[in-house]
Amino acid sequence: MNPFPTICSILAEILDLDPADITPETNIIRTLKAESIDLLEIGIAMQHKLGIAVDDDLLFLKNVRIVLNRAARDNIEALSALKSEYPYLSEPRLHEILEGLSSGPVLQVRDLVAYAEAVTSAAAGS
Amino acid sequence: MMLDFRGKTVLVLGGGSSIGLALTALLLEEGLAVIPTHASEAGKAAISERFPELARQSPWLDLNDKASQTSLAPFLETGVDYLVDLAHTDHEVLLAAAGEADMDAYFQTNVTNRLLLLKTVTRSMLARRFGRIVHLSSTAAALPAPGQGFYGAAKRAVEGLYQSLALELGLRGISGLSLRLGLVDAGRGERFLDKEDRRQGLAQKIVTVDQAAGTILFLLSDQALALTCTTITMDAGLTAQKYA
Repeated sequence: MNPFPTICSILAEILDLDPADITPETNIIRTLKAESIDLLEIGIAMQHKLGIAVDDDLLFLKNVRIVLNRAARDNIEALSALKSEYPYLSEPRLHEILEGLSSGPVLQVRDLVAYAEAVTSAAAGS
Repeated sequence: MMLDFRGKTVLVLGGGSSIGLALTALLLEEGLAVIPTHASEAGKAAISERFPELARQSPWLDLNDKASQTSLAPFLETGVDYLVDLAHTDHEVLLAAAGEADMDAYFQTNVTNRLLLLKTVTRSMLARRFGRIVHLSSTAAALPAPGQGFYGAAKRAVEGLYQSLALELGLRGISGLSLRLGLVDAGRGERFLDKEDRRQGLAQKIVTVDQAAGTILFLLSDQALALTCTTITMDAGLTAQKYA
């Protein structure tokens, strides 16, 4: 089942938005101005409404800069480091994240969707 | 004054303690549903004896054992509105004599494992945008006796956790505070009073179990909701004077 409609309605409810204004490419922090308390609520709502376990750090890409700093220190290629940390994100998406970092937080709605799909699929396979 | 309660279900950590039992009786009188946890067979027996109807819904929860926190899952799924935290392990030792393993274990149990529990409980409360968390602290947080270094430091740390949780989640309907009790005629306070005939000299400084339970009941009520992000003291004046 595509989790996008559920995630969309969660974002709309918590951030007081019209769901029609939310697309997979919407920036959650940069554009929707979600704050840390909003992210906490979004994670909890996804846990309850989608029935998935949520790791806030992964879900909200909180450690991207830490991962990249560690990779630079250890002479690991940035893309490989991100792939290893966020295996559920596609390579084109990881490239976009690397290119978009200078403009601020990179989290988009489709990243939440990818996370939910990966966790659901892992749970179904186990 | 009649007290009002917008929530229905109260999770009492350490429900088999004297204050836990007295509080449970008051909560039931108010028509609230109570989930009293126990960490030991003695606690479980005390709950069963006083409240046979609650015996089957008393989960085992031992802060020493992180795995025991899974016993709360079905209750949190249904929804808990209030948390009363009466659980704390005792360990008296002079800090300069404390072993490293003791240090790790004590703070893992009383601070880290408690924070894990608070995280789970408040996330469940957040989903419904209401929750009240009350921590039973001690005047030892401010004025520990020699040997109470672990206990006092852990209590002060936990007060900080409650204050920050209430601060961070306040706008989403979660409030909470710590209540520092002084000399209570129960548990370790009772053992202290029974030593060397201290009871007579300190008679006016004792907080009774009923007073403590009644105050916690008030702190849970809607009337006390503005008491949040803070720590209050109830010690019959024990710590108000310069010299005893």
